[in-house]
Amino acid sequence: MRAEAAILEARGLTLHFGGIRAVHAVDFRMWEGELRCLIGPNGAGKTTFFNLLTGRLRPQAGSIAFRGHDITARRPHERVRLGIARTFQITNLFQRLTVFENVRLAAQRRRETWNILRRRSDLPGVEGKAMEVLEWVGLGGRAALPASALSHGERKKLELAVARAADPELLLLDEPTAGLNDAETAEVARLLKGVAGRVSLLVIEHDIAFVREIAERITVLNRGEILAEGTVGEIEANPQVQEVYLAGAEVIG
Amino acid sequence: MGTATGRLYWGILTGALAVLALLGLRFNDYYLELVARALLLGLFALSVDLTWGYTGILSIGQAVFFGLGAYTYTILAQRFPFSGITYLALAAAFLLPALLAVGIAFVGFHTGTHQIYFALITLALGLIFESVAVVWRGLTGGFDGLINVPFPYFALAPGWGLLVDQPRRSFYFVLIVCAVCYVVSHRLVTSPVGSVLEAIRENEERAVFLGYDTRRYKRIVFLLAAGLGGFAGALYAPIAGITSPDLFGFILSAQVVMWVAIGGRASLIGGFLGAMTLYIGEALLREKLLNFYLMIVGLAFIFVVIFFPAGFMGLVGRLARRTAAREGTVA
Repeated sequence: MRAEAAILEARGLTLHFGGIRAVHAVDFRMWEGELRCLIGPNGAGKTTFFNLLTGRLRPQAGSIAFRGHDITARRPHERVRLGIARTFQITNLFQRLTVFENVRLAAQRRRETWNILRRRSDLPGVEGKAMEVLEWVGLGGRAALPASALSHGERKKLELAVARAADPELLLLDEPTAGLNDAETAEVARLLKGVAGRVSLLVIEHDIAFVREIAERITVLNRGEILAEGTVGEIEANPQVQEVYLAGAEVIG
Repeated sequence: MGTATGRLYWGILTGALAVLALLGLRFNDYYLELVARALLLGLFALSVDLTWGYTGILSIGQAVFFGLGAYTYTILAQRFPFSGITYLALAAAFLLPALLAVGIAFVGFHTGTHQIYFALITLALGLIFESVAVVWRGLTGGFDGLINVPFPYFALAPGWGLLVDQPRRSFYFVLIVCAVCYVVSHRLVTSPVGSVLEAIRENEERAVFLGYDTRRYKRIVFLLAAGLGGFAGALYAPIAGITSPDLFGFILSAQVVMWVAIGGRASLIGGFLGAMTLYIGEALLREKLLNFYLMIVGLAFIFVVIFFPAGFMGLVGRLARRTAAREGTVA
């Protein structure tokens, strides 16, 4: 096993909401540079799992380690500082700020300063980084618009750019293609494959074609527990997985 | 902020400063004192603009800090009349409110404390302080307050210093203080810290997930604003000549929010505009309009909130951008 290269490791992670086992005794491990997809029927606990990893929610039991350091008690912003960035299922941007300011704020975090004699525009490397990630997702021409003026597809791309602007080591993407058309989905797949290897990616996805296109390994979550884990081929051949998806009237492929 | 709007803001500021400085030569004592008080209320409004306008923290008990600053200065300056007391009293008038703000922030910015509860905590605190000021007669003079507030005396050498007692001296002193505080505040909001404050106002959760310790930012800006409010209160007291419980009061807390809203949130200058226009307006029209004045201000507030949520300066900024855009297309 490549245990020494685990970037993220959850052990026995558990959070129940009343009687609902949203996430239950999940053991999960991700490798450095891996592109992993997290799939499962609606209500399987995928987003709750993300919220536990990023500190938006606190687990009732279990632990989370990032690069071998226990981060279970760390506050959300501290986890980001360690190198874990995320996007949100429902786009979560600074709607009234410009597209550029959205990414600039994310890039500025690496150069955080309390010196009020500095101008926001003369922090070394920040504006360059911001423009670089905007160009990466093809929004360079939209920089001066308020984020609220973007189309849904552009907002999803801006979320990607914001997430990358802080140079995270682990990127958690919650349904990056939700609501996108085929061309936009293909574009997102291309972008993610382009950074895979340099950044570790954990992607929640519903679009199975998209998952097949990008994933190296897949983890299937069902009713808060891990049902299966493996390569795309292994998962598609797994009878338990097929059963769950058929029961939920969702078909793989 | 676009450069056109930026130039306009500086234009208005330096213009207003020059006009006020010139008018100061012509004003009689009544106007000198009135405008100096209005400027200090504007400084108080500036502190509210930093918290509410820029960071989105609404406190409806901000007068607590203003009042605390006024009482701190007054009590210290009266009880310890040695020559360096002004420095100590002014420092204490900044630090005590700031300390109180840290306590409030500790409770009020805790995870899961909704904004509205924060506002209510500050409201309750205002009522508590007002009552204490009425009841604790030995220290505060009770309902009548404290009169004969000592003027600031800035000792520069043994037996030599600057006594800011005459109205004209007070006026220019206040004008300089306000200009300095404005410039410092402007540096703050245009610095990287300022952009994080805006981010917190727009979407605090997102700012957290960019890696910013938003509670820390809020704590610090709230502390600074409290100190600035206290400082304004301390300078206000000797000019008003009396330090009384209404300085803690809900009316002042509500008024300062209205001044900022009407003048324009997140503009720095809006607080001054709102405070000066409405406070001076009140003083000049109160005789004629009696209590109708507050009604008119209240209605204006509602009107602005509904139709011009960015206030007067927001309107000016919009016009400036429109003009700039038109010139841009022509050129």
